[in-house]
Amino acid sequence: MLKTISRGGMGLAAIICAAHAAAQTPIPPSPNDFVVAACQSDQYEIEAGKDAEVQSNDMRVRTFAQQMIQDHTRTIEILRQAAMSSGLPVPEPSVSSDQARLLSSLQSLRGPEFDRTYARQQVLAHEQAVTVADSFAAAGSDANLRNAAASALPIIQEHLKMAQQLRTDVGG
Amino acid sequence: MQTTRREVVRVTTLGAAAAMTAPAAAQTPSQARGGKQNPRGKYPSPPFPAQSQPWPGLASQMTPRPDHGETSYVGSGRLSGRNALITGGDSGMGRAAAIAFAREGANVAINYLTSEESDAREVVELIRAEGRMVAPLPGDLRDPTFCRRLVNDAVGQLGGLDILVSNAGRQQSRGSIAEISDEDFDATMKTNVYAPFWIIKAALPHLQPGSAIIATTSEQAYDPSPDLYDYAQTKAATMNFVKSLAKQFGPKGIRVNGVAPGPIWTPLQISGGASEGKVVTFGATAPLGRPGQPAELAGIFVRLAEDDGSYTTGNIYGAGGGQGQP
Repeated sequence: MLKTISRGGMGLAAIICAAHAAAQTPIPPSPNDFVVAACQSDQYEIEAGKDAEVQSNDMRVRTFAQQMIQDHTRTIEILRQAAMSSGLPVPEPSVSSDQARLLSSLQSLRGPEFDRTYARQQVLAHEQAVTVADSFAAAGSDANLRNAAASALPIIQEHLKMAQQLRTDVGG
Repeated sequence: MQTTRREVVRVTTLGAAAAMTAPAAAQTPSQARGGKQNPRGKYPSPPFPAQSQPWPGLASQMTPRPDHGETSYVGSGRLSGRNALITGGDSGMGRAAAIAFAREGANVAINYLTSEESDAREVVELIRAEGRMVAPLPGDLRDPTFCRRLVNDAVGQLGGLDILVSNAGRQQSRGSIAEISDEDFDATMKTNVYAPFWIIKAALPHLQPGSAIIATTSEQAYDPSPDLYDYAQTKAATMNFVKSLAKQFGPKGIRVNGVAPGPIWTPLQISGGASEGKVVTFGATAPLGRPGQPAELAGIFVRLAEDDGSYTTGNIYGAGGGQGQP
């Protein structure tokens, strides 16, 4: 429970619910952790998209990638603004060490193998982003950021559908 | 995607079957071994359902359930006559080692936290089903008095001790060092560094030549994640004491080795060890495209414990999914 308390700002009811729910609902991250995770997710999408523009020969992949760059450039800005309004530090552009590994594995690929790996990563990355945005939009402890998460959520869910379609199209 | 769903159902069903019919399932006659499978498709791949449990978490409540080898591990007497104490033996790799050791002929004592009793019960039943002695010894390893009592009780109940698996660990993901409280840091150090010291020290007088100590370290010892600042350094400490103690105990004929896993699907991860988002994509960074299952490490623990591994000491065996360490 130290972990939950140290996150700060959660209602007592939420803590009790978290304690008794033997499993499955994720506890939302702290506002700061949410800002970092969501920004990193956006940054990863932008960088992976740029890789795809250069390394893919498949029109479907390149179109998808361009959409990712466009949309995630927008959502990262919304997030940064919300963070500033809430008095939270605005993260420098960065990706998590896991995302860095994923980008690194993309960079050594070309052609159909690139496309398959990119599509697979995009499905996973958007599954993760939906989880994070959803849990914060539902129960996060900062109103500005809850709104930012709630507004990003339908975009990310749409992306997930597109990514699943892409994965069906190119394999992987 | 369909393959993944089938596998999720398969693993979940196997887990449930093992829990409900443990004694019968455990006595599977020896099946055809050998052959090969694509390791990528052998076990579930991400995405996993978002899930979170309070620390320390139960394997039985995970989706999908981890595979500890309940229905697959087949022994052949490699550890007959041996007596083992395994910390963190209720779930994860400790559980996989406990099941494998029992199936290889050893008597097994398992330590775990009292909140993990329901997982531990399943392990106790599986060990009993092999006709081996089992000693369930719950308690918090952060207490030195308990650690000493743990060793005494294991020796007393099993009639001796010649395998010690120091595996219990505490892992909590924190984005920044600033988010780690003194209590947090202390809890990680006590569980992962102090407890092995107290337990190994208490066990030493009981360990005859030919005994084996196995400590769970991690790829984190060599390539730490930024959100595991406290946990990762304890794994580096573990990797290091394996080597110093191997040198110290070589003249006594006691071997000391370590196991360094990559990302493995255990309750550690869904009870704070990984962030909520990371759980969904857990194992995606591994070249094999998925996390490992505890069952995939059982054979390593057996190898390091058995007499046939007699020249291996001061070494770290890995199962890293391709991430490159150790």
